[in-house]
Amino acid sequence: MAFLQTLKEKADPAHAALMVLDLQQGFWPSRDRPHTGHEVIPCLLRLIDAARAVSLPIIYIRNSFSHWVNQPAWFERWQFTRLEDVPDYCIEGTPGVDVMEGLSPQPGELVLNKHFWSPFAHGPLDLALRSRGIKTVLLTGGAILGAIETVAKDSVVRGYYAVMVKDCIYPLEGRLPEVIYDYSQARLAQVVTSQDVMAAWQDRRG
Amino acid sequence: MTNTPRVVVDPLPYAEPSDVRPGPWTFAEDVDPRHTGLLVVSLQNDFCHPDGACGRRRQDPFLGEAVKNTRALLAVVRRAGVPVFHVRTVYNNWTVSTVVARQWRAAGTGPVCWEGSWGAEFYEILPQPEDRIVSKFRASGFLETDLELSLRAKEIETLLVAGMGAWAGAYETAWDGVARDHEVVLVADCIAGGRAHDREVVHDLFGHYSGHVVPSGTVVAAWSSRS
Repeated sequence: MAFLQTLKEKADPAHAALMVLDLQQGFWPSRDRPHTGHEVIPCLLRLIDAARAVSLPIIYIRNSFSHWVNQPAWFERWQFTRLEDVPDYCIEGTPGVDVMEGLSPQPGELVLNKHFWSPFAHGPLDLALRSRGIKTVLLTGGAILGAIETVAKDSVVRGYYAVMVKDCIYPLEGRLPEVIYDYSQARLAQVVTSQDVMAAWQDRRG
Repeated sequence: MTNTPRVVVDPLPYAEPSDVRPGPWTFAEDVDPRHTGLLVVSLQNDFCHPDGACGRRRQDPFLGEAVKNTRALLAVVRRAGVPVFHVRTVYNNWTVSTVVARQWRAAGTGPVCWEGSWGAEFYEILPQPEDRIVSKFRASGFLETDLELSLRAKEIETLLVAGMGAWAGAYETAWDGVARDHEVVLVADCIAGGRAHDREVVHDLFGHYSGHVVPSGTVVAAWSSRS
């Protein structure tokens, strides 16, 4: 069995995609958490620019909720913690669903809606990755618990390599990311910085 | 040759699910508006319009009739409060695969229902604000879409299927609906596409093995008898 082992192999623009998770006007900055996520934006914008320069595909994942998709088992927990004080929180048809200003998707980049933690559920992400011949997903955005860690697992079980770009994932610090990165590095995903990724693309720039 | 230990599991006796309704079941019960939804599949320019990618190669003479019947059924469906799902095909540079591109080339159609194009737009029957639009990326409306999630959210058990696509859109969606434990009703006079003979064969097979095949009048009559 042949593996892609090095970051240079995994992040090769010929078969890698950059995934930006949950950076939305209505979701971020998170109003009910101590971290805001603002600190990842400068790094992420540089990484996005570098990805475009090497023609690496970019996927933006957005939460979208409505009466057409909400399930009682999900809504029961979230109705109190979120929707009360943020009326347009990622609700379908409102600006809250839109990707944050500054992260404007370009023509040809994929914008996909999800309705739960994982964009692999109830949507064409796997189909799109397979159709494009993608082997590796470079994960950015957040939060590390909920979105990133879930998507990393759902990617690996479908046969994709997962790479966590930790300076583009919020929160940047704390016990939670430490624990998840330790576990991920051992079992799930290569954990790197955006500088590592851009260095891996260095000789690919035209 | 190695000896593999044989795992023996004692089979449990069959226990019928406790919520199985006592039969015989009536058609009117199956299409009760409280748990029924209408799927209008692939009524799009590329499939239907004489200038569409597929339509310019071949026009189904039954299409006009099917659209007229679907429009009439929709009026009744809306009065009954039955949710309507417009299931449309969308391809883009992310969802087109080598296999799909090869099929288009072999058929001589060029890209079909390409995102943002006129060909991908709805044909004749336009969604209303209260309807749900579901984008699909292959023939079946269930494959990697949120259709099933929406059906669960609306507690829909029975699917009325109308639209376009012998052997493809409408039928693949219908059979996938059966596989997901829905009661499925092919509304025969609201389905077009393919050759008339093909439709007859599929309707025979589906009605025999998988679900109901009825004209729209039967659905309307079942709802009339409730009031």
